[in-house]
Amino acid sequence: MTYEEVKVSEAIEAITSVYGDMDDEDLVDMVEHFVPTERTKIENTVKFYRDHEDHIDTLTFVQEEPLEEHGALVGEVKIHRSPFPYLRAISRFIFPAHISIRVFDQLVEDAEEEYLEALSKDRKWHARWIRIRESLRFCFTIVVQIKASTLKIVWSLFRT
Amino acid sequence: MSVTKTELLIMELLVSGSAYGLELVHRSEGKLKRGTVYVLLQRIEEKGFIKSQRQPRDGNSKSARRTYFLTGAGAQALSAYEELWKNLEGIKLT
Repeated sequence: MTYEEVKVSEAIEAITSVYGDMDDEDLVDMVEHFVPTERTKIENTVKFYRDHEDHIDTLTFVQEEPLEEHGALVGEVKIHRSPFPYLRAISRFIFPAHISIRVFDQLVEDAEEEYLEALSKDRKWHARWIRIRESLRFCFTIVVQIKASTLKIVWSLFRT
Repeated sequence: MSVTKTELLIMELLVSGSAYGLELVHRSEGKLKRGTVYVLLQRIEEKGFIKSQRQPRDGNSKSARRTYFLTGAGAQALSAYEELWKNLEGIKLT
């Protein structure tokens, strides 16, 4: 399962848990808004989700049907939530949007990719280690960025 | 406008082609750290020596990850620094 597929499944789960029942078309539109990918893929996944809603554990999004049979994005795997969105929220709270997007989102993207790759190989302990390590790295980068921004402000004040 | 040694290293790495942050860390063979590379890239981009764009995914969508590439000004700055470095090496202390 690719990173993109995991994102689509997560988005379906999150949207349905917040908004409850909604039309398939509306659900596809909302998922597309959050995870811009091919619409047909999203539609297949939504269809699969609807067909198996009763058998899917809403917390873990686990199901038993084989992937190929439905052409959907969810297979015989356990889908985990990424533990990193809170890091994005922290960076958006502290820094302006352009720094958050260009520095911290990149860092989180790398972390998420590594984390999900470890989980896909069933290396749970390694994934946990990545989670801790990347959170610490994130804190370190915050310190570096604050230092860089402060120096920039001081320098601009000094020059004027 | 000043350029630090690490910033020059990043620009040198980008001469061989565009890359995203993690790729640059791998290319640098341990000289760049994952925790600081994006801070540096953002700083060089503000100076106008590099540019970035969101990396396209398989479909039409784009991911949050950005690819960085050297600008004309960056290439000029890099060659100027290399020239300066060559001249400095040529100077013999008597």
